[in-house]
Amino acid sequence: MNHELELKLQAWVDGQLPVHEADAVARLIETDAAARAALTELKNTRAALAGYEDGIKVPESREFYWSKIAREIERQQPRQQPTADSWFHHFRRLLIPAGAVAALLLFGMFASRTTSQDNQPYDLSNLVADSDAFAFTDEESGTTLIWFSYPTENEFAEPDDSDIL
Amino acid sequence: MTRLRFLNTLVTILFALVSATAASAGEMKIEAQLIWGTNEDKSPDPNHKPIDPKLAKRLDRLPIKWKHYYVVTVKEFSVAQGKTNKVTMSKECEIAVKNVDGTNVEVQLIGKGKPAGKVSQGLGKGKCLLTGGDAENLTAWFVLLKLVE
Repeated sequence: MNHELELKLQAWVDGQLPVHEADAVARLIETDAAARAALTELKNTRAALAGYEDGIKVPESREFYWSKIAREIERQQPRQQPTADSWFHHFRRLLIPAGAVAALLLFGMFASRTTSQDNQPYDLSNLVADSDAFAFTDEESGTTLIWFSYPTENEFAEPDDSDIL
Repeated sequence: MTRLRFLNTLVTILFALVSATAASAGEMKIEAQLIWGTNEDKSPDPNHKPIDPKLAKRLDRLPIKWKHYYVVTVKEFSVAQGKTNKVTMSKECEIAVKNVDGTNVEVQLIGKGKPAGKVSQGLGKGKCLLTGGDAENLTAWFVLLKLVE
């Protein structure tokens, strides 16, 4: 059996032949054993394929099934992109923690600067224009003590009969 | 005409308000306390009152260890920015407080009319400046300055 006849048989099985050709092929099948064998083989193959297709039915509709595939393809596409410019993505990944660290450092610098500025007035050298005095600052309570080490005979400390101080 | 009068009055009021604000800007309202520290359980002067417990806690944190502190005098006064106010705390004790810049003060302690010590200090909200020294019989005097809140 030649190839052209095989194609015609396949077209006959599929019902795609014009009427006059279909009649001719039908007559050939009745008379030719090889044609009948080929026809049987075609029918068996078709039946097998049809059965196979039935087995993989998906629960979703066709549109939804393919849209899922399309979404998955779209989702995977950006993942492949980093390989092209991975340094930039590494840089971006580092940028957030680096920014946070920089912000913390700046805050720390600012806080320490503010504290040191706050402390400045408590500096003994600026605070007391007197060598017989010392200063103590309790930062937590915000209290600064200036102690004058004058002898008790000092006019400021000397008690009076009418006034203890 | 009425509208003009109204505007005139409004401008005058605004001007007065702005002037008052400008005048009070930088003014410091200060409370000064003359305090006596002693280890005696009772003050010989019945007019003396124990210091505020909060202040006592503050003093406990300082390297001064008198058992009791009594308030001798409390004075409240205002000092305009750049000006100095002299306040008499007791017969012997005076203080001259200069408002340097609305935050910092320069305090001159005066004993029996003579300068006894000078201190420069920032006097922010919640902060207080305590000057002190030894007095007779193992007692101590203190002058506390803080902003009136």
